[in-house]
Amino acid sequence: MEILISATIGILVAAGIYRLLGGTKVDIIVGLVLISQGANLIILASGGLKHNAPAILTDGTKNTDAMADPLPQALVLTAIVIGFGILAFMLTLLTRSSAK
Amino acid sequence: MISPFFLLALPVLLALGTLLLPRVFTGLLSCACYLVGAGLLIPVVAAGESHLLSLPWVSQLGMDFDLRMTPFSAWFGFLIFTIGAGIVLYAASYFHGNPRLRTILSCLLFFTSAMLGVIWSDNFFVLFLFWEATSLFSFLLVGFHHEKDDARAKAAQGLLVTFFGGAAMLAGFILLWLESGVTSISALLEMDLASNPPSTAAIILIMLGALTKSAQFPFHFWLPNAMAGPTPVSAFLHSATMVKAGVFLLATLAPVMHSHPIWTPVLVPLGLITVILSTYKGLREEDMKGILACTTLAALGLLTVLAGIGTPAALKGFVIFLTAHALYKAPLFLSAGNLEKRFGTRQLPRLRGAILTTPVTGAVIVISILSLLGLPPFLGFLGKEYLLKAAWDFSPLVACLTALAAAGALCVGLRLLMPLLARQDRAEVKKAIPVAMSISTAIPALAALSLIALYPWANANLLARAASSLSRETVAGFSFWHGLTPALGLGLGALLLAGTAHLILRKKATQPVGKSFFEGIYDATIGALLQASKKIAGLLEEGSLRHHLAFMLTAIGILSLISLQITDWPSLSNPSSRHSAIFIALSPALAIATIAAARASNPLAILVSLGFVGLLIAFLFLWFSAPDLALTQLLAETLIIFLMAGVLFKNRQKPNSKSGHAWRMIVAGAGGLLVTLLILKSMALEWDHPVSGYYLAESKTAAFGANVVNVILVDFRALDTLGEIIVLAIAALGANAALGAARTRSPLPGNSSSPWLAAGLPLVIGLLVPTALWIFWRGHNAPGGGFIAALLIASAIGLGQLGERPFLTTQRMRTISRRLLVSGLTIALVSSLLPLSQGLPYFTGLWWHSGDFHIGTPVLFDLGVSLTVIGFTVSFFRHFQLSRF
Repeated sequence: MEILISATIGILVAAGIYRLLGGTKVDIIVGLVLISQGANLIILASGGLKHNAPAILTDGTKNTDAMADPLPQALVLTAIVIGFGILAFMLTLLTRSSAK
Repeated sequence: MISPFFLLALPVLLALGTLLLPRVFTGLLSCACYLVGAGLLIPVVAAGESHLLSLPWVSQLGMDFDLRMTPFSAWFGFLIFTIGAGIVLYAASYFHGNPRLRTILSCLLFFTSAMLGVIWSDNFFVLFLFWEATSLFSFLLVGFHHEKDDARAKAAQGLLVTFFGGAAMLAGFILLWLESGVTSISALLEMDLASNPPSTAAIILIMLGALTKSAQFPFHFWLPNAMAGPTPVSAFLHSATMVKAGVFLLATLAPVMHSHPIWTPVLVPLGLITVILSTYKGLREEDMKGILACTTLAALGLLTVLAGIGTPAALKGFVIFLTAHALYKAPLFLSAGNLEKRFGTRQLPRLRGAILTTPVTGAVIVISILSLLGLPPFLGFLGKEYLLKAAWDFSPLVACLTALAAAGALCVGLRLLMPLLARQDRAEVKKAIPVAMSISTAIPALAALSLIALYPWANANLLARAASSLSRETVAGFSFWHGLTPALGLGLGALLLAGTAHLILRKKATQPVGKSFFEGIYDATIGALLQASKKIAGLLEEGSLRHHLAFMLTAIGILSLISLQITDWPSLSNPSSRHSAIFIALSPALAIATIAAARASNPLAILVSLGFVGLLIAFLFLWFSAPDLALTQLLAETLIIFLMAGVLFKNRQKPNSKSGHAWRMIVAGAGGLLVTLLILKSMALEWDHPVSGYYLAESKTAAFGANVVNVILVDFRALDTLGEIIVLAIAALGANAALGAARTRSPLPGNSSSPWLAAGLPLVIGLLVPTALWIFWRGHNAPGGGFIAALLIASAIGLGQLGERPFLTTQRMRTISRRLLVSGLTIALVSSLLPLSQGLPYFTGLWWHSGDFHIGTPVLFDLGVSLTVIGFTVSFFRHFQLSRF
């Protein structure tokens, strides 16, 4: 699974870089979207990947070690919203620079 | 005693005050406050005690805000305030009507604080900070007429030379700290400095800092050049205060350092060379300010000689020489400005007889030059007398050389005075000197005169105390008559020599001195640096964004290659790979969508492929136990596609060229491979997560939330989230500014109205809004929360705009988004500040409980976040109007 997720992120970043080097404004926006998706996955992966163990506490929760790490998730959640904000801002710049 | 911290802050407070006050009062008020400050310092000097005051700052680095108030430093502070009082009043009148009056006044005020900081700091590093601040403000002040190339170049020269010295001085202080463990002047003065290589190096570096600041040979060239600044600036910085910082530091350190074998042999010759070179230049100068700059250089040279001798007698002479010089040089500079106003020139040959037609300024000039020439009963006489006395006691040879050098400086003084007194070919009067300028010119001169008038008292209570504290032995005071001593003879000899030389040289035609050899070295160094950086910049940035990006990415890649060696490969037989069936299917799908996104060139293909990538990543988040992320990702993707559709369909750009396809592939492939390897390696690292563990343990008990991710966002790390929504609000405002004229844009092509859309929209929106409210409410305990609810509401609003009759006009969206942004930020801020009313720290959660029901400020904060995000999204909908499809 580690190899698979690493390769997936690698492909996302590679595609992002390829797009970024395309030279047009749209290329740069698409490239950044792809790279930021990859970056979000990197942060999530850095906390260790766990299946079916969300960090939601129930009354009977004893073993919190088995739970997914909530900190990277909080970071990624912020990153998604900020990434959305940056993208929106870049889109305005794009509109602005092409409006004559 | 008045707190030195208050006096230190006084000019800064005044600078802030000048922004609020009418321009007329700024000069008067600053002048009055400076005089009060000077008055408050007199009792401190007279008390004759040293005080150490400390304000803890960065104690771990040996940096505390320590002030050391000795009678001498208080006396120096008195001089700064007295001269400063004249200067600020003068500047207010000199720049009367100039739109940048406030700028120069506040720079002068800030500079005063920095200068006071230099002389009162006890801690080396705090001293360094103030030291650099004086250089920086000097740069701003000299370059005040920044529209002139010349002023900029000369300001930069002073800045670079003094910054170079400042950096050397910092290195010296650090060496001294490592060597002896002391970080303050007071502690250094209490110990014996060992004579070993590190302390020798430290002394050399500190001397370098002091010599550059005081413009001593071979750095003497910058001071006359700094005369490019406005007259009040030259008077304040380059005569009375800033350039004295260097010799001040030398004199302060002399008691502990003068016994070191390197101290005297370096400083005394350098000081004498500076005096001789300044004479050489001064005798060829025609500009009154230029001549004054040369006499300042000479005085600084003599002060360096005194600090270099370093004996108690020399330091005693240092105090009186410095006092006399500060009080006669500042009025002379200001007078030069007055004469320039009155006669329209500063060239000496065209100022003949100037003194005779300007009563106040003329009197000030005469008194000041007599003091400069060292004639009794002026303070300059005492300065010269004690200088020669200390030099004679140290070595008769040095005394004779000093007297010879001083004769040169006196000759320059005569050269300045004589044309101004000439009775033939008088200069024509052009304008009157403003009264405020005359008065302010007289302030320092009056201070000098009152010192003489009150001499018995001032000598015993002020000068003697200051001299005692600097020389570290009890000094009775200064006296005018010691009988027939060698010093008196040398002084008379110097004066006679100067007079004779003046008579001989008077008639000679002179040619101004060109650039000195050392200034040539400076110019060559700066030129070479500029050339080299231009070449490097040319190599890295040749104008193409693609190449620039490729270069940066390659550099990042090469740097990260190093970190590949840090860990081993992970063990790949991870037990959690059991349930990976769905994941194994997801990954290839994601890979295909990603590659499609990389290759897509028409807008629809881009949108679809990016949509797939986002959607599949949302599934990945879900698979890896991150339901909140999955929800956020899903909604953010929806909105991204929404916004991008609006832009991409309108911006039909030429399809990206296929040129450079191969090298793009290579860079991208290498980058992807590197990232893959780095992630694999990072997975091999095993570390415990104490922070996450704390959050998991405390979430339920301290923050009453079961959904730890949401609790982190709105409670544990709420400050981060606050920063984030502020960023969003700024982005919305920035886009507003960039797209201010967005309303005039033409609607999208392909206007279509479908009956399905018309019927379905109200239904979908009707479902979305209550769902959003529910998600907001459950967020603390189950997947959901403010961000997700906000994105849902935003989607509903976006959908509402798709119909044939959008329910929000552009104008209303503008109003709504602004209100939402403001109210969201306000609510978030209020919820963070509420705990302060209970005496609790910022952002502490306040909770009200009713059985199992908990409500508290984090919920309020979440609401604020929600509103801000909605406002943000709506503001962008406005720009990318999708309404008329």
